Amino acid sequence: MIILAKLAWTGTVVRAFLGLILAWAGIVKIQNPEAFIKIVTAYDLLPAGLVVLWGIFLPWIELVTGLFLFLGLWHKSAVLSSSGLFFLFAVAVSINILRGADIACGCFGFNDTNLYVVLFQDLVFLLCCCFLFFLKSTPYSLDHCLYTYRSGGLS
Amino acid sequence: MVGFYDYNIKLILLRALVIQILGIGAGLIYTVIFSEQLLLGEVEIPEKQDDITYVSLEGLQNAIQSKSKILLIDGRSESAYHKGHISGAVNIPYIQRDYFFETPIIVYCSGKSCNISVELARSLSGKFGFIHVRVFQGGWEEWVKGKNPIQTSFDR
Repeated sequence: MIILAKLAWTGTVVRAFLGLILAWAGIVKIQNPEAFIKIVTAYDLLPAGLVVLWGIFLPWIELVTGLFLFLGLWHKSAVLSSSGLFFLFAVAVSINILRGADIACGCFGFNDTNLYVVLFQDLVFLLCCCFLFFLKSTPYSLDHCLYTYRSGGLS
Repeated sequence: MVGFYDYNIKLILLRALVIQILGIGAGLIYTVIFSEQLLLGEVEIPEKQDDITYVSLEGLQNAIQSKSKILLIDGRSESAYHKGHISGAVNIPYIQRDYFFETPIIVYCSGKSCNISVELARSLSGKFGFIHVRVFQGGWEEWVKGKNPIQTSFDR
């Protein structure tokens, strides 16, 4: 039980951390969508029309997913959504590593980052998502508050 | 501790979809209000920039075969460059482009009697901003006298 409780607290920290990372990544891109669109273009994976749509909407999906994750609302769905994002990033980065292309990552701003480091980061985040998905509960989450509220204060 | 779990996979997927839709909706509202030009397609896509002159495969082949003075730069990563590159290309990895001017440069000319290497070094460090520029004073004469390896343009 102690181990489970410790795991749950670790889950809260990991959840909040991943949530903040995603929300921050989203906000940075929202502030400068044109720069982000140029970076998406450099990835050379999507046709021009889709590049713009991706550049506009991805940061917002990141932000909303990050907020859900940070607040602990719809825990598993938010984790699933984050996993999807990290998986897509990992695939996009891997393809460009295999191509030998040196492009800016565009992950948390517009500075250049080594793509191998980015891929490693994405894989670590994906592992964190797996851990969170199979975790039964994390304290200080809106899900937990809602459950407590619905079950009449019993926790 | 009791948690609030959603074990229903359909519900999990549905809520994940709702999160995406919320994101797209927020993005749409924000973009319509603050940066409509993005939705109208008035965004500059790098490939379509007019300030760049492009060269075709034939153009590059002709430039190399005619031995015209071109500096061919391979912008890929160092590892990709080492695995194979177009003959004569030098490597400036895109990711290190900001450090390009820190590339150590050694200039030489015929030998101690010539002065153009010094002048060239002055231009490179002054006008062009290279930081580490040095002159090999002995130049071509000293290099050849020492029986060091040389290359002719025909070796390319």
